[in-house]
Amino acid sequence: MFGLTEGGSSVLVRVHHFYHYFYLPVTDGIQPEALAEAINRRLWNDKTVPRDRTVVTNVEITTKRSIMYFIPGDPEVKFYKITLLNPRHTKDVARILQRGGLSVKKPNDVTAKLPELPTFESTLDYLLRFMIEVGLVGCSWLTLPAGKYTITEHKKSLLQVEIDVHANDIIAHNPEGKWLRTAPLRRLSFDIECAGRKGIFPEPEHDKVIQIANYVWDHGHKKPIAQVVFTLKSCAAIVGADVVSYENEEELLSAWARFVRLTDPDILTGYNIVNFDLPYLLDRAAQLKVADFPLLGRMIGQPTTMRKTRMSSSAFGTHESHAFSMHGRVIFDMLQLITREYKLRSYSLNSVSAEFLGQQKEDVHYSIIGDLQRGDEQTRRRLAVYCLKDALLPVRLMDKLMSLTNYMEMARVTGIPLGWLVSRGHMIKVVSLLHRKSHLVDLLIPDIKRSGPEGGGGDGPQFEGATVIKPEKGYYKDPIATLDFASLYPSIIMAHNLCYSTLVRPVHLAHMKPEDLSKSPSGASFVKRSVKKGILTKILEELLAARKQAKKDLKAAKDPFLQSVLNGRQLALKISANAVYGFTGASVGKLPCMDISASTTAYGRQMIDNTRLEVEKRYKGATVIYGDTDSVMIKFGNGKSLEECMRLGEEAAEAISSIFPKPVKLEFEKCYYPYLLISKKRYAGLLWTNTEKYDKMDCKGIEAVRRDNCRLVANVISSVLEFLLKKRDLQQAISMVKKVISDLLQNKIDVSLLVVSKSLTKTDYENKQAHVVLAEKLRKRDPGTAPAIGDRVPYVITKGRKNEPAYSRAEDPLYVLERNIPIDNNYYLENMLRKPLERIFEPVMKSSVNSLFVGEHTRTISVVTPKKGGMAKYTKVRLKCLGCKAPINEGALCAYCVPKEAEHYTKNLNTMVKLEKAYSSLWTECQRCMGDICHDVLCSNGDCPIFYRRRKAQIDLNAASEKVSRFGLDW
Amino acid sequence: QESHPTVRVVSEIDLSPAKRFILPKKKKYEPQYAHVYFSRLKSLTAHVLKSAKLTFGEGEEGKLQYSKRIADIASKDEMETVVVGVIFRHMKSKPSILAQYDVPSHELIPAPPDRATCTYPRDDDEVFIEDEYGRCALDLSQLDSAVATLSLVTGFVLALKGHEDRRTGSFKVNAISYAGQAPQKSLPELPGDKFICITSALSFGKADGDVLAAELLMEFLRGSAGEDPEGSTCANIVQLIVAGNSVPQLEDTESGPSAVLAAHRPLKSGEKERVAAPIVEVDRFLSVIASSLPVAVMPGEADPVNYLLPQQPFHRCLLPSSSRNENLARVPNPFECSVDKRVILGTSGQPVTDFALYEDQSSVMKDGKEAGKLRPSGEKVLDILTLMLQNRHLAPTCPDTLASFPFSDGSDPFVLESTPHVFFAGNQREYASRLVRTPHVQTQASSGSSMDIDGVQGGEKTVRIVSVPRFDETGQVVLVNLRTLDCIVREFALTM
Repeated sequence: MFGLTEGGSSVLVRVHHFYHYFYLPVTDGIQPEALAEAINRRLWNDKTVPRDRTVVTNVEITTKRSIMYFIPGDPEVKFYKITLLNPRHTKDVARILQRGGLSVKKPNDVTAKLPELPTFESTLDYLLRFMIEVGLVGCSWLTLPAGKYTITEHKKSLLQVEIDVHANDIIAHNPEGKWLRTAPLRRLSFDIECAGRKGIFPEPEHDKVIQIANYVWDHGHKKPIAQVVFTLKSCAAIVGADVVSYENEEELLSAWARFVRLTDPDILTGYNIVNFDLPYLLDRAAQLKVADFPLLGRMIGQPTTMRKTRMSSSAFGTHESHAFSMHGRVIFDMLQLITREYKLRSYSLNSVSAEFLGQQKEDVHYSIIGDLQRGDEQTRRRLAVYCLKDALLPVRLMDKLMSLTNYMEMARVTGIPLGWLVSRGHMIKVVSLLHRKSHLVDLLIPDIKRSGPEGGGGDGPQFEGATVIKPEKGYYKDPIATLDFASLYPSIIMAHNLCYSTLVRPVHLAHMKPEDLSKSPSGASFVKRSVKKGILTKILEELLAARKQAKKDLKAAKDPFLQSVLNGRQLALKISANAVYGFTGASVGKLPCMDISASTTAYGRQMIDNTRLEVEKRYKGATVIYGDTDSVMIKFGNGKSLEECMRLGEEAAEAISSIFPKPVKLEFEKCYYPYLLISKKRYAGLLWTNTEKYDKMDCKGIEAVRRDNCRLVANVISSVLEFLLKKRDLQQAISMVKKVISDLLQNKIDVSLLVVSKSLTKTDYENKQAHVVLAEKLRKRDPGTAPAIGDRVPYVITKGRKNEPAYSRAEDPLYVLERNIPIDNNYYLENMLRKPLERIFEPVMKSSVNSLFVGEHTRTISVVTPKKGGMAKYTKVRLKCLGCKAPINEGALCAYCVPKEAEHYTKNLNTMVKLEKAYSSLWTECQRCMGDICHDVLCSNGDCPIFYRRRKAQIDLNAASEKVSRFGLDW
Repeated sequence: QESHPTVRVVSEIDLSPAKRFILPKKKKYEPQYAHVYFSRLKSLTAHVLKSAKLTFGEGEEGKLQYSKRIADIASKDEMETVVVGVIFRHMKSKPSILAQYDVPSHELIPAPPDRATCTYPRDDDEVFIEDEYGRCALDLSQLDSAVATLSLVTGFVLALKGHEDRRTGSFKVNAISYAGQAPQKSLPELPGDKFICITSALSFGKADGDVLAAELLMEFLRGSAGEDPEGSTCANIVQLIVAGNSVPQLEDTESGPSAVLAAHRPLKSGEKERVAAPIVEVDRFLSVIASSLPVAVMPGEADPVNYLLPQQPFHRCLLPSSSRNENLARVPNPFECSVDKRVILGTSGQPVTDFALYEDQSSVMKDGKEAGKLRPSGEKVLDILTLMLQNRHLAPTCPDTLASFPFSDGSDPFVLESTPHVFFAGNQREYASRLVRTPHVQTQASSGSSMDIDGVQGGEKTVRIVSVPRFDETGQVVLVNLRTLDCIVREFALTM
């Protein structure tokens, strides 16, 4: 075990005398000793272990029950408890027994062949088995009593203290009261820069690692312990940071590995380190044969290895990833964490920090990195400053999002080690909870044969969905009260005592008294809690009680750090409670049980239905306009005030709760007023929890945030919602949309709003997608700066030739700006704006939606003339009068317009003044963001909303200033 | 109406120094703002360093070092070090276009923020010093906080003495040194009193404007108003400077200039008259004055000219009749000229107003808060102008918070190569004036060391600094006596 003392000293505890074991149902007449001998002999014969080694050290008979099924009378069953010397052989031994055919001598010397037998708990991790037995949970404190341990002289690790102890002497503490504090875990956040060849994303076979920036920062401390940047070749000093430079890359790598060992962090963090920085470093070090580099773990002489994995989980999806063996350190990649827990438009460090830290980040394109490296110590310093920032942001994100605190609490609540939370799915949390509880009540969990890919996970429940009440689309100007079932699925499981251990198999039904049973709407039968309380019920009751307590403590807590810990705990408890249902439904999980999960959802659907009936029965004129998984939306009637609806909602929640078994509880939390119901799972409304002021605008499932949309769509949709919901002004919303459409057709929409960006992946090459085709085009234009795999490719759709497919009309937004290439406005209108707008307006305008897209405002269409290419090659530009567009030879105006010179001058001047304002605020903003005012902005952060705008301002201002100049100057 | 024929004293007027504020015919809005800071550093570092050595003494082994580059202070183990660089204040409440994206609005793209409604300082502001090699955070705990906020404003090039705090990585400042005033041309004797008249914010056409006040001013300048008790007569006023805002800022329209003239959309007949009137009034006023007195008209924030500093002169077509008179000079803002070898330099006030926003508003503005606009008191304006002279820069906050043209030819025209005799800022809340005499070279406020660094004969410099009040609010104009550099205020208002 790796750990810290309260003061922050690192300790390695070596636990002795703890042996792994599992269970097997007893076969009559076979003695434990004989079974042990038979297994050992079989292992020798199979040459799995050498003849002098004993694998099974002990077999004894114990009395337990299986968790599966309630059997009438609830009889106890005898099991062999098979103990092994080394946990490594568990799988082998279990397999021998599962396959059957093992010859065992009976006491009467007759050899019997064992049939295929189900094993129990052989798949439980040794580590988890140990933690359960000792009563230890993840990230908790333990005491080693004085005199019960010995301190090792000859250390095998880098930790400050190494201790040997007997497993029985460990005292584990529940993370409560004074044991609630967390240890000051040391975090090392790092980022690397590689010098790529032009136009190619860096590859470890060819491209050097040129810089590694590091922040060492103890958790819970206000300031970092160290900021260090390792550079290849000299680098000018950076105030506040230590710069260490090397002439040779091997030395650089070796020095960094030494730095990791020296600072000895508990947690290694960064952004995308799992799939970029760490594999790159390891591969590069292997390429250069830096022998001591992989020694990044805490065990002396044990190199870090990596392998590619596929992790799939119903909650997180399937990911290709890397797994590392780095003893004693947890790899906590902020990218992975954020992709798991947040749905965002983009997961680049830029947009993530813009989202959570409220700051845009300078982005230096990797094609420039090579140039900066080849420059002098000043340009390398520039790079180092940038690199340091990229190392700092992950720690800032971790603190801001409370990730570490929340994960530590999750480890405590579910009882698993911190590292597992990062490297495994949701399932393991429930496995731990289930084993812990079962262990206490002598229930055994059977091993289920896996059918899915390694790593578990797989598809979610494959039965009827949860939506019950068909949405009555519309725009509701009356308040809509929303009743929610609090923790619906956990409540159902508890209310109906659904559990593995309460499920009754059909064959046993006849032997049971009907009053002891309850039959779920999906047809499965469970015994009532008066007969036997289910394990799941017990687990959930405890989780929810603990959550209540944590919330209560949270209210009382004063210290902000303690508050964050308690908040993390209550969140962890909530997530864990909800994970239980998913666990029973995961078809390739550890212990799937469709009877439980199907019953749960069936009860849920029934409850929503009953709620509707009850509401409509009790309240005259009330209708339930929509109901989903755990909530129902009620319209109490026309012309009801908000106060009235809130009161009725409150009352209805209370009244209807009473028709359901405890602890199911219907709660009234909020009213939507007004409410726009678009379709199933798509709605928006102003959310009210009090009558004075609305809390926020709540939008569900409205795809304004989808990544493959341009900003225009998101902005228009949110403006429409703003008008409809906040101002309740349909006419204004319609005229706004018409204005936008008109502007779009007249080329008045800023290009920055039309940019779409998609990331280029390896698999994209076969199909003709806009970004893939464009990337190819860009490569031909300039291989040096063309996007490589992994890059995001921003583009706009241009007019192109007649009948040219849209994918080949994609173009680089900057290229379009500079050359004034016409945008395909119609494409944006028809393919981007139309559907989302129709969807939103349909409930409001019904069949007249189409009027948005035809009519006066769509008549004027302007076409810009490109500056270069195409027909422009053959045309000669002639000056035109700025007043009437008549061709002229010089100056600004034709003879007829001269009398109105002042008017035309001012008109042009106004345009210029507006652009000047934009120009100066955009470019000074970038200069500030860069954190340096004496050098040009290099940033290429296309995710930043002003990236294209600032270039456009430049181009437009030049054009406007030229026009104003044509009026002549007399100085 | 009776009018006296006036025999005006003639002066030698040279407008050519203003040329440096005229932008090239072919303007390029491509280069980035970094060039502005870079050229500012290049023109001022040597002066600042020279003056710092006078103040702090030459470097001494083991005691005091001069750091060539800011990046190097990290390697000088907590030794007293002097660094020279440009100051940058990172203020979270500065107007920011990115922040506008978070403000809910119905615009698809947010417009640039309105500077006038912002105040900059907050408790968590950070101050940096920067040169082309790097930037360093400053720890100002050892400085008087009033000195620190007034002196350490974005864009000034300064020398700071202090040492690096290894723990925080910031530079602990214990003293500041300025470039000191630039050399000044000597002031030849004048046989008699001559005056220049400076006014600003005539705001013709302002909704609640005092029409009569402008008429009275016109009468006075044409010599119909009789003798002035303090000796300034119409006859010995040799030049009028109109320091910006001849037309009012209209609040109800989207931007200043568009409001003043016919907008790009066709106007209704009534509307056209109301909106078009101001600039016609200005033209009439200037025609009348220019017929008897040389006039220089500078543009200001509200006038129909370009927005980025330096603002270019009014276009001929906007002032069609007055432009025909050779006595009318349409000049840029900032503006510099010499009248009888007296160098007169000033702005229409934007650099001062913006500078003042860097200070804590509660202490600076007091009751200067009107119509959402924050404006400094007269004394504060003088303090700021003095600092600008000391730091040889007339618009330090350009381009960060004060919009300016992206100069890239290696020159920053706002750097003061010489010290003027009259230095003014127009469009201020109240009149104030001060004669700044610099016996020799004043180096650092706290130190008494006095030596001449620029070798100008006599060493003494005398500058009249003036806060020119808004005419539309005070009815006041300022008269500066070119012989004595004394100042007089004249007030024209209905109430007189």
